[in-house]
Amino acid sequence: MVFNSIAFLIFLPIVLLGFYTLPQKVRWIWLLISGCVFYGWWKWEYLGLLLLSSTIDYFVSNSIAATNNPVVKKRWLWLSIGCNLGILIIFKYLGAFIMSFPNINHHLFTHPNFGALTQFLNAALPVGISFYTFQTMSYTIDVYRGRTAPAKHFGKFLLFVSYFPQLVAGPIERYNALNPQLTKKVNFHYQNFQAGFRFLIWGFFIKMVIADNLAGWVDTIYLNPYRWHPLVGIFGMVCFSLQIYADFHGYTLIAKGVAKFFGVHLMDNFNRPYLAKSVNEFWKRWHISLTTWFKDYLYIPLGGNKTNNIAWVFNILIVFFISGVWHGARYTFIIWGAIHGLFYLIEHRFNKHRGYKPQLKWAGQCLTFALVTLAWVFFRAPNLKIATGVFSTAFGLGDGSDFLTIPWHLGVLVIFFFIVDHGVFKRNIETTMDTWTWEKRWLFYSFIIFCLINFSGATAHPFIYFRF
Amino acid sequence: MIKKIIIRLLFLLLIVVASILVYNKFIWPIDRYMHADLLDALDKNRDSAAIIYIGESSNFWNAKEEHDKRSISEMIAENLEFPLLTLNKSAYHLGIYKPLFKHINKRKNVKHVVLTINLRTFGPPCVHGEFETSLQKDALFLSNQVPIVKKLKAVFNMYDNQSADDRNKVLWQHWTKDTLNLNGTTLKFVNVKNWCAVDKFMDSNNIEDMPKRVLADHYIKAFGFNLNAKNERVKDLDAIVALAEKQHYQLYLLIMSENIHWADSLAGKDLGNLIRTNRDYLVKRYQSSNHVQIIDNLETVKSAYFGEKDWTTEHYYWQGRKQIADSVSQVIKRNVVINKQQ
Repeated sequence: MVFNSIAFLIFLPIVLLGFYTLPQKVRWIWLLISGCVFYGWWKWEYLGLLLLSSTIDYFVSNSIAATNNPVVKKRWLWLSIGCNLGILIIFKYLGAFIMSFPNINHHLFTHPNFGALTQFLNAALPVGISFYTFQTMSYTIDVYRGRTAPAKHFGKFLLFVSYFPQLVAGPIERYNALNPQLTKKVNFHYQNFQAGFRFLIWGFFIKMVIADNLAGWVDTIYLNPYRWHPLVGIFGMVCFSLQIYADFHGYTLIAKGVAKFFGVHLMDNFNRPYLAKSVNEFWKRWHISLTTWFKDYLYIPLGGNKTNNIAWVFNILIVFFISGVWHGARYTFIIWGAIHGLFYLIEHRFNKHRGYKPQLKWAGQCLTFALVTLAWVFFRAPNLKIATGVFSTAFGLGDGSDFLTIPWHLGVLVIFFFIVDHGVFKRNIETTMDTWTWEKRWLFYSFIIFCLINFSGATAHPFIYFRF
Repeated sequence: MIKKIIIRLLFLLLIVVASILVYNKFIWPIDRYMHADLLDALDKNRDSAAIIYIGESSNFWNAKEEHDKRSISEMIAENLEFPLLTLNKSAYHLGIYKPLFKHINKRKNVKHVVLTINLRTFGPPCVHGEFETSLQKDALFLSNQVPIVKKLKAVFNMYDNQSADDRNKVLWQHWTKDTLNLNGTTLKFVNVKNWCAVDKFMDSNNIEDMPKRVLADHYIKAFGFNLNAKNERVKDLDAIVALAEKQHYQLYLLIMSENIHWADSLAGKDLGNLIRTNRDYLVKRYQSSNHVQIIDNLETVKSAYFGEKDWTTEHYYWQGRKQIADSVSQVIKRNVVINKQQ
């Protein structure tokens, strides 16, 4: 089930009604069932995968806690990591890897046994597999490190993994942060609904009005990048930067809003990333739950910056490489990750010698936005040919001259979004809107609802991060 | 508390109602232009057109080197003395045009409607193709529902919005399960999958001519099917014919030329005969209707006049376009004369 669907708009009130009318002690069962319906709505068969991943981590974590032998603990940990990564490799990467060989698609078509299997593996990427796998892995590693006690109740652990607002695209929550909130007693609070509504309405606006309209333009430009005038090429690159932010941030806000209805606070995933003054800072503001995951469970275990220079460079590159691979089985993602790694290293080298100059704040922001935007081309392009096409068009190396017609009102809305999101709301919608008068709030609500009805994109594009 | 919530909900409702009114009055024309341009064209030529030509890329395709770049419909318009409205868009098919016909019914001056039919559109790769979801969205905007309903259905993907993977699975089923018959006899290779699996174009060293083989397989996939009443496009065509009969305009089903000669050379005579059999099915099914006339051009255009040999298209050089245009013009002229005499 996706947030921007009629099914979800019916599902949510039913779940809320059930949640607040049922006794406290059975609410977790209701939420667990809701999570299964939410996930199974897409393909119920993959609930088995969710169950498998959860079962492994539940038993492994308890086995880790049950022994004092560090060698045995480590073996259990590697078993969990192996199983989780194995699931990821089989369901996320294997099909795409096989299909990436030239002509293999055609030959497999004619092969009675492998054709259907490969097509199945290629087509059946379970939604949000990277998110919930990383979430369960972080739990097991935390148990291994002694930072959290193992879950004693399998059903409640399953709820932690399948909690529907953040199940398919994060934020990737830690067990210590989410689990206590899921099991605590929650009373109906008007303030929770007010805050949830604010997250929800702004989230839907930036997804359906901004991201979905931008998606239409970006898709058109990337379909045949060679035909466009250089300005359109640059426009397409900037549009995708805004689209992916609006799409993912919109999802996160909706997830936060829905969780708020149930009295649960999810972590922030974004902090005005396009105001970052450096690539280093960008990664502290973008997809924060994944960045901190990589920092805590990959970068620091590799030695972090407490190693020699060569090892540190290696650590940085490996983190960005894996970050690229995490997004999917496409070499363009790896290039995207590698580019960020290189930018990060160059920037570090530059800053070390020149130092940070506050008067260059705007220049830093513009340069960072430009670099991030350039890297996004590889993220968006399905292959190197398209990425090359976008670059050659944007830098005036192509011979295309077509222009794109953009309705002016949609252009204005995109600018409105960026100013309000980065300049007015800053990091916290809740507290910002609390300072507004009721007239200002209702004017804002009216405008957003008006835009949702009148200017939503004509196609509900799936959330980009669902496929990860 | 309850009162506070109810007042807020009522206010929200008021905003929603006002927004809907604004959409129907002011925003729909913009959306119609952007997402249903054929409907926009139809509305703007509300009472001027006597003939409507509905086609796809076969109408306007031309080769770069051609001097005569006129489309088929432009040639028809020059041959006839009536105002002609062209409604065409690449990849559009009968299922997308079906909702458009409901709007044509409202136009009193329309006397003749030419509907191009290429046989590929009846085949599984087109019915379950990767562009179908996008086309279905266009069909939604072309439908005669209330504008805000169309918009909200599109926004929430409430139309035939299957993923490409789901469509691919159905396609795969057709290729593996549908038995191919010719004159009541099952073909040697039984189905498309087996037919494609056969080695083709092997040289003396047992090395395959891969480009040719892939093209042959593509032809087999595109034309390897038997038409029957359960076919989605046949159902669409039934509905279109029913609308024509109801509104009493003359509907011309223009069967476009296919490169049968090329298909035969790539995949064998059976494929050409399958194409002919499917044509015969359509002729037989619709020839009895008073308001339908079939213009059968399946084998009118010579192989040499097909502009693209590396794909299965109905794209012709000007000679081919002219042949098609002349055949249509003649039939319409004849009908006009008969109508005048009556």
